[in-house]
Amino acid sequence: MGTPRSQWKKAVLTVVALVALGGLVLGATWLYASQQVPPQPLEFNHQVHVQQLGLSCLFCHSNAARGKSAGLPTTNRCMGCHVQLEPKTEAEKILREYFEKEEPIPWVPVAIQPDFVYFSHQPHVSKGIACETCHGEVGQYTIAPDLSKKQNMGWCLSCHKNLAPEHFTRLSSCETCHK
Amino acid sequence: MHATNLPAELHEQVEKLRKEHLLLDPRPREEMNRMVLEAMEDVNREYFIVMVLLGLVTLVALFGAWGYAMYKGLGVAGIRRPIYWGLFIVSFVFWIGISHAGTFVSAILRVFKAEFRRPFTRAAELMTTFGLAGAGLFPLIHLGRTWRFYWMVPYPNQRWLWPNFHSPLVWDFLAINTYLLGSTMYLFLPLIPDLAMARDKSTGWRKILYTILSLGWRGTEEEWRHLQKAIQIFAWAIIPVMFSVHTIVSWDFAVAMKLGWHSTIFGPYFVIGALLSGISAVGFILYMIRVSMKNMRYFIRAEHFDALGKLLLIISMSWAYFFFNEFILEWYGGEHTVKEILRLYTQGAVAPVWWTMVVCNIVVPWAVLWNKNWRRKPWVMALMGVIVNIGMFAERYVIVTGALSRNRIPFDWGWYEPSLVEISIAVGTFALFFFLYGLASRLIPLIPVWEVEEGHHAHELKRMGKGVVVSVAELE
Amino acid sequence: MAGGNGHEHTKWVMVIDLDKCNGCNACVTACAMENNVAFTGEEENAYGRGMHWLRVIRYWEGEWPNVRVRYMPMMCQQCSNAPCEPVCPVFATLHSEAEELNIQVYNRCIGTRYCANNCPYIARTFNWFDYEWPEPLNFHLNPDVTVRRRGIMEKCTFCIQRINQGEEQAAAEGREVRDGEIQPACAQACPTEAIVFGNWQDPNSKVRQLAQSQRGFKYLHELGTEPKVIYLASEKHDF
Repeated sequence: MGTPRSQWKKAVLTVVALVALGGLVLGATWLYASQQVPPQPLEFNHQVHVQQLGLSCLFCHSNAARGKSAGLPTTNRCMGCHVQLEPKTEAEKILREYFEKEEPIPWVPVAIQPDFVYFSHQPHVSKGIACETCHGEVGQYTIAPDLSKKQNMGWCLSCHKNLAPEHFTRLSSCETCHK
Repeated sequence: MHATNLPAELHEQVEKLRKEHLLLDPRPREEMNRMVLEAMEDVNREYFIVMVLLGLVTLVALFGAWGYAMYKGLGVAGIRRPIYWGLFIVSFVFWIGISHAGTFVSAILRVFKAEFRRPFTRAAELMTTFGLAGAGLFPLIHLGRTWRFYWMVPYPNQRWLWPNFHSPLVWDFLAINTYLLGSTMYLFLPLIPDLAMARDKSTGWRKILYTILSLGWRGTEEEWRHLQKAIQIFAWAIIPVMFSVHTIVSWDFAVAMKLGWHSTIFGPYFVIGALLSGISAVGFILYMIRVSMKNMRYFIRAEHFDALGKLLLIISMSWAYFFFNEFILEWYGGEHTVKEILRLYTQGAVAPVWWTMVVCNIVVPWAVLWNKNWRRKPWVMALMGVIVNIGMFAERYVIVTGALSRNRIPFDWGWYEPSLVEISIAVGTFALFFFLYGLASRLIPLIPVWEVEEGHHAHELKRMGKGVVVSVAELE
Repeated sequence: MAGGNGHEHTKWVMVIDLDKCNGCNACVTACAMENNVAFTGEEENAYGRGMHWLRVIRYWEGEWPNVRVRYMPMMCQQCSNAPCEPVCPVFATLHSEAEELNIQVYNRCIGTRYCANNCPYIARTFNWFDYEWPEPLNFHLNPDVTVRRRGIMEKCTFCIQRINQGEEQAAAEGREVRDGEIQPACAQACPTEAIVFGNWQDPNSKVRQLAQSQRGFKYLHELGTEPKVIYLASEKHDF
């Protein structure tokens, strides 16, 4: 037992410590959750396809050079190669199942923009922006991580401001991305 | 001056003066302390019931309805094209007006050394703080996306975006926050000695509360000097802030291209209107304090209502002057949409509201307040408070919704009626105001005892020939 | 123009020939389809909460039976000196320096509705509720245009998504935008070709030719808003 004053101090310190601890735990949980890759219908391995086999991104995401959406390969596109391979891994078996059922694979997009953002791959690709600039070193991942939290407006602007200062008016105008 | 030193014929005169003026009727500090604390600690059953009711009304009518509006969308309000602002903005301007009472009564009367202000400066300052608390809610309530209100705050963010400093709404936002902070500090400063007094005389949780709030006040000479200085600085500084707040609120309308709003006189017109509603509301609050709290008949007397009444009459006249100016020039301009708006006010569908405004703000005050006997009756002044505030609410209603319903394209003329949700929120804010006020009345000493005591010391009765006169010393 | 940044040379202008307008409302419908304009239903619409970005104002003239009806399509006039812009506290409505248009950023809007009060053309509409597109209507939603939620202001954009797409297309092909290549939905749908859209800076453009007509006027030009919509009428209307 101390004086009333020291008791007060103790109580306040305890509360502060508890709040700080709670904040830390919450923050750590959030950080952990944000680092998790979203579950995909099959564990497509980018590393094998890009690094080992040396496929270009546009081989599968072929619409990136032409349109707004890069697109995901159809099951047929996958089977163009995989038809000659004996399905060994779990993922290859699932792929074959979808192919035989004649169903598209329900991929979970990881770099999707909200509805109020207008994004087109074509101007970016045609200006020679490498895919890795926005999507990271996909070739080193086994499964692509979720980018939707990382790709916020400040992130877009960091390039739009610096890459082409002479086009800043155009590149920083709201209606370029919001319409 | 002690009555014993006086000849008998003067004795009667002195007694009369004492009965009339608080500052000539000194009581020992100890007794005044006791009276104020007794009033503060008097938490009886009626008080409890009233507070629970007010709290429930606030919770349901204000926050419940607001939550509903946020969840469903602002369509639950009666507003529609082209009347995009309705009862929310009306209430906003109204409460900003109420909040002018405290600063005016307290700061301006303090600066001008009007002695009658002493017992009720705090009661008026509380109105400022809680009026602003009510007013501050409405810009949030009326937003389509309340949850994004913080985009009006200038802070560095990853979007690289700032608020638009051209917009009167940003000026509003900054002005209201400045006023709220400034007036809260101005409320708190003179409160410190009284809190220290309460700390010394109370026990239990109150003791702890006042120990924290009184910031270790001991009442040394130096502390008093600092406090007086700080109060002086704030009293001067808060006055321009007060004028700026309502001027900027008026600019929300005046800078717009909207006919009926686009008027250069709106700044002073709104400030005077705010004072009109604020000062009259002080009369109402003083009456409520006087009848509902213990020992207040000693502190708040007929002389105070009389003084408020005179002030109110002058302000009502000034308001009428601005009103006349505004109306006659709009009419003289002869722009045909403006003429249609004025026709709508005086003869059209808005006419009942418009004429209520004229009657409540001009006719009734002028008819009543010239009479000293009526001014001295607390209930008359309380009633004036209600009537004038009805009039001022009507004024804002006419300006906001009336003007919006007529524009340059007759195809798009419209009509506005408030919905139940809007009315509920508007009523709920009144409950919030009275709830906060009721809470404060039992938590802090409502009468600034030290200021009254100071007044007692400053006033002296002096014998002069066959009569007595009052002499006032400059203490500040 | 090369590099897709030649927009300093464009100023988009619309010409509406009131002598040709027969009030068929095709433009209103086309606009709603193109821009994901919500359907608020009969009741709400009658209450004054229709979301039309473009509306056809109708005035009757004369006494029965000698009545005449006048139509005037009215939408955001894309003022060069727009009253709505300075009053927005958060820059949700602002001037695009790149396109010289008055743009509305939906995701920035907090819904003060001040812009709508200050618009002399009453051109803005507000999302009073979250409106829904029951299946299969949701399939008509234009993916290039934001679907607005409750509490947001919106208005005609001159079909900015079409303008940008046309410009992107032209830039990709390394040429200038051709006159008439970019058309907003209303102009495209107008059966009498009363609505014409184009680049004012191009001296040979159709809008430039039409706008020089003696019949041309700008609505409420006396307010100094400098609208980019030019009306043509053989009789001066006292709207």
